[in-house]
Amino acid sequence: MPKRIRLTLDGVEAVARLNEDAAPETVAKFWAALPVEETLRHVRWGGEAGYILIRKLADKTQPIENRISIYPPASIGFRPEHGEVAFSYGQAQARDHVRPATWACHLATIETNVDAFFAKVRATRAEGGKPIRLTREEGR
Amino acid sequence: MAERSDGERRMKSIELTVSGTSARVVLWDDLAPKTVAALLESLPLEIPLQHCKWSGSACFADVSKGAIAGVSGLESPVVSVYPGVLAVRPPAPGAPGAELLIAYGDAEYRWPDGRRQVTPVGELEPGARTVLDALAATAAKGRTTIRLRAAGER
Repeated sequence: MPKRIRLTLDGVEAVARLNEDAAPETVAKFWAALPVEETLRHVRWGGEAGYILIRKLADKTQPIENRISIYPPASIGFRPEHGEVAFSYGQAQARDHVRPATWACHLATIETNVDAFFAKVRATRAEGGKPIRLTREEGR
Repeated sequence: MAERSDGERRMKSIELTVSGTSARVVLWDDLAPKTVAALLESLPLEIPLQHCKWSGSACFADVSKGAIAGVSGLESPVVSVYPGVLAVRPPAPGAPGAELLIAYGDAEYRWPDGRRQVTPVGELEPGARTVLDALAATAAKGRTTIRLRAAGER
């Protein structure tokens, strides 16, 4: 059974399926790091997405599995060099101040309550950061 | 920038207020005479300001209404917008409306399809750290309001 995580963003819950087959090492490290509580903020360079930093997952030597540059809507991307987890609600790409385009791991895809969850992500741009909790979805 | 009869340059400036912090902006009317004139004609402005999502450490405001929307073409175009610099993106084919940008850190004017250009119109006077901090805070706190008003010449 695929691994799944539960996301709770400012009171709105969603479930995402981890892409374990395509990104086994990344998923294993991410799974081991859960639960995570952070503040989700809007990205500044990458377009229509929110992000958190999981500092304990930052690893500049980790290969990027299941590579994407453009984030598909409802995707969760992971950039190991920063420990950055990005939640894309629209047109978005892995970018930063140096690189107009770079790579991320397509870590997971949100499967439930997509519209309500991403409405909250979108709102961070106008309303500021919001609390997010990521936990393992086990035994369901 | 005009030259006075005594030989000194007159620097046009405006007053900028963001989230309760204020600073003077020296305008670069020598680099961007049409755009600076349109900006001055637009004053006073009190409009929403929010963080950029593609361009990095900068905020933007929609200035689609008013004189700036009537500016045709770029002046002294740049891509990089340095901390404290104000820039205008005038209306262009495929990009209706107009934007005012203010950078507080590393910023490049970018769209989803890559880098684009803007017209630099001025710079916050040195020592405007509290204004830069207020701009940076929009990344964590969300939208705020920017007020621009005439500050005369000196």
